[in-house]
Amino acid sequence: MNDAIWDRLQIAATRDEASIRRAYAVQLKRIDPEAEPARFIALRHAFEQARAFARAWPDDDEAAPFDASDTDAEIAPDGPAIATEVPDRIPEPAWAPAPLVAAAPTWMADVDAIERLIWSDTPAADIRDELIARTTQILHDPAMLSIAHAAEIERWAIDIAIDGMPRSDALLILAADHFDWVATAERWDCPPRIREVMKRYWDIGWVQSLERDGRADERFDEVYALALLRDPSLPPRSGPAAMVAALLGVIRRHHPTALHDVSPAAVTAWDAYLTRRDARWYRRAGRWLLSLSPAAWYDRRQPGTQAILARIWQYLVWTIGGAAFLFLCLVLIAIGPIGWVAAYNMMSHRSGYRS
Amino acid sequence: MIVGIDLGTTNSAVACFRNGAPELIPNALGELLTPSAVSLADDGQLLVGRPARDRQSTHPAQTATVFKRLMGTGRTTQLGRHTYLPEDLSALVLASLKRDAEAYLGAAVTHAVITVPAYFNDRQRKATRRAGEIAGFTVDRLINEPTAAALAYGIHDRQDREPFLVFDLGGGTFDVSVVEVFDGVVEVRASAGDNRLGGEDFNDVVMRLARETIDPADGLAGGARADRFEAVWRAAAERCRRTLSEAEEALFRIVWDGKEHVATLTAHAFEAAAEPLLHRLRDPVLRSLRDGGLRSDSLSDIVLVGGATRMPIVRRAVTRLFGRFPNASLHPDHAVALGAAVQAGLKARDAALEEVRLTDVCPFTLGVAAADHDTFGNLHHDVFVPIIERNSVVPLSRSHGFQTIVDRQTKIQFQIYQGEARRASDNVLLDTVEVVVPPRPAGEVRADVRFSYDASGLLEVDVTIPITQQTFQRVVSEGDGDADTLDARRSALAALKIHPREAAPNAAAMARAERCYESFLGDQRERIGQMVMAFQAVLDRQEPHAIADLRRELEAMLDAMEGERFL
Ligand SMILES: Nc1ncnc2c1ncn2[C@@H]1O[C@H](COP(=O)(O)OP(=O)(O)OP(=O)(O)O)[C@@H](O)[C@H]1O
Ligand SMILES: [Mg+2]
Repeated sequence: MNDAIWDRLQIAATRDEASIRRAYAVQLKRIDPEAEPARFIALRHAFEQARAFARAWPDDDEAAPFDASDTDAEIAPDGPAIATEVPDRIPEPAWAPAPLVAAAPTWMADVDAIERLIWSDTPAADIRDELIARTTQILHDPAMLSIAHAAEIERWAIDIAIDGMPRSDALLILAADHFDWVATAERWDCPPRIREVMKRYWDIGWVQSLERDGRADERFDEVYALALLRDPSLPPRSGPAAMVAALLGVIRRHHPTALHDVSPAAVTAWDAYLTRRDARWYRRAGRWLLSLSPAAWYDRRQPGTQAILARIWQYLVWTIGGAAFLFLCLVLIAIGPIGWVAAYNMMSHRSGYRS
Repeated sequence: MIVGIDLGTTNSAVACFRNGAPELIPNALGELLTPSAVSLADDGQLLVGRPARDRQSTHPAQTATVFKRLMGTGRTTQLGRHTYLPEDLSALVLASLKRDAEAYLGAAVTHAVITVPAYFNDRQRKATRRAGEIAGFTVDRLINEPTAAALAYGIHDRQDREPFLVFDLGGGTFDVSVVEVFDGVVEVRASAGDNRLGGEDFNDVVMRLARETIDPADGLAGGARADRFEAVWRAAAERCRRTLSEAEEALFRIVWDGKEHVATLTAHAFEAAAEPLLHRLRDPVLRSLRDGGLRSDSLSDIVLVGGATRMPIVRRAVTRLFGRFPNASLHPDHAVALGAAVQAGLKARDAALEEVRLTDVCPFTLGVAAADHDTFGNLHHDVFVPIIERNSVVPLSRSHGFQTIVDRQTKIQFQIYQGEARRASDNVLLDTVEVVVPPRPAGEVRADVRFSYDASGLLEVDVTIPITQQTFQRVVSEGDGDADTLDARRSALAALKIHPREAAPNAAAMARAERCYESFLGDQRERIGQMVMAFQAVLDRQEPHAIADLRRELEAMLDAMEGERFL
């Protein structure tokens, strides 16, 4: 620990938070925070450092120092450690516990039942209705009006939504709407656990939109590929391979949790097939040709920025190559009849009409 | 002398710190609260305060109220021939408070501490500061309203206090602060709020309910008189809502086109209809607790401030939120002004406050827009990068490094935002700083951005380019607050004719009588009419004693007819 901090507070190094606070208060009264902001900033910095030092565990290196001021106490990313920590620091007030929460423990039964459902072997489709009913009950329990209880339930819902994925999807959607996680996710300081839950939320929406738009022409490829990935009994084949490869790319890149919604066996089979397909000599040659493009070179220096240039190059390669091929065919076809005519002419010259 | 001013949406108050304690200053009518209302009288003079509030329903086109909600928007209000910015109207109220303070203290009052809702953004704060300057004050400091209330509450017995929560629901804004007091240090740990939630919104609910019974087809309002109609409804809603604070049932009563329309509202129906508003109280509470690192059950107290917390439905909602009863011991209308006076005393280094210090937080996050690569290498623009995180103790100073993203980039533009959204452009844009950098390959030029935020909420930005050793400095713009325009507006305001202070009680009685005349029928209306005529006659004859007598008589009569009166 930096000595300057203790010099600023004018006390010897200590882990006693009360004396750190007292020292800070004494020093604060010696300055006028508004007239001397720089001195205040230095003092405040020393105070916060000292407090962080005091709050860190003295001998146990594994336990991270806990600083209430920048940790999310209500939706803690890793709940239990903090839940036990806070009451230690702040003595319980003399108030009686919330009567509403104590009087109506029906939600407890629902919580237990949901946990049992999620970890049971019953197929996901069969637990859905009960899951929805019980979650709705929990969320509309009068006890939810108390913010302490609501925070507890929110934390529980996040945990079960992540750990029970995808069986807990129905709960996730209800909870996300109830706690307005969509709005939370729009904030820069969205807790990582909620961001994780919301990734799943949006992926569910994406898969559902594919299911809904089943007959829309512009999404036919994706819908068809999804159907193939869901049915392990259909063996991979070359016809739809490009569509499946594209969909797998989109899933892995943008909707990773949607892998829960396809058949793992089918994905493995298709992956193996696509690897084999990519290893064929003409595909390798094609890739080599593409790698020569200036766009690909630029892309290596500036990943991801030059996708459009790469497209243009690809287009050029195919059109110029295609044009050259067509030209060759034309030449061959054209040479055929011309040759015949020429031969015929020569023959006829030789035999002559000169009679 | 520095005074503390609570510039509220509905009511304002001024207080000073004397003899070791804060003290409210009465206005020309002898009242401690001055309604934040401005009205242009028929003789071209401007009325401020209660008479203006009373003219709201009789002369809506000449009267302005609730202008605090427009602060920082630049939306103008027309009264007579003049147009006013919201800060001009606020300045008129502040100037009136200034005259009251000068009359009461018998000395010139030039400095003020003015309160703002904690959740006012930078533009709204600057507009408030400008209002103070236009009114002729040097604004020493802006202080957050819940912080002021906490200061009044926190130091009254000089005891240490475990973290408590200040719940301030006023006429137009809602604020929450978590505060702690130790060794004379009043420390705000977090603030949050909603600057568009208050008593006015509950009035809208009452109006909606009453309209369903009285005027479902919306046929009563006649085109040109729409604003008059609106004002009459609003006044009736306010009265009805206040009655609902005392009774289970209240009469919503208006007189329109010589006809009386009534509807009976029950507290139950009101509570049900106000449910969406009550729900909005939750989020700021939750956020302030999270940011303060506290659980709701570890709060030592929930302190209610602001007139709208008198509503039983709000108290019930608070009780449910926390699972216990809130503390309503603080005077909901006075606490903020008293706290502002304590801050004024601190500012003036009053001996009685030598052992007291206040630290506040900035309730918003401040940062810049930047571009960033994601894990797939895609470049995303318009990403908000926080530099000062919300609820950090002020004053403070923080810096953050950035680099160029394109080869041979010659300038970097920093857009400075305030807010919490991940997408920068969803936040409030405060200013833009552009710096010149030497052309180098991407990523080789670094720029360090430093934000310094002072106790009143003034932001200074400096950008240093280590390669060139150059520094660009900028005080985030004051909008149209430069000295010249402020002076011009100050003199424009000074040129306006303000109703003389001495005659204020007469103007107030007259305005009230006119309002009552419009809202009663038959006998009562006739009696008011006769009384008004008699009063006008003595006013014209300028007989001080007769005027005072008749005014008292008139007021007694109106009291009897109207029941409890309110501002
Ligand atoms: N007895 C009551 N019952 C119901 N509401 C009340 C009562 N008394 C005051 N109010 C409401 O309180 C509000 C005014 O409160 P207050 O004076 O604290 O607000 P303000 O300070 O002017 O506004 P703000 O702080 O939002 O800028 C009004 O909307 C008024 O209707
Ligand atoms: Mg207020």
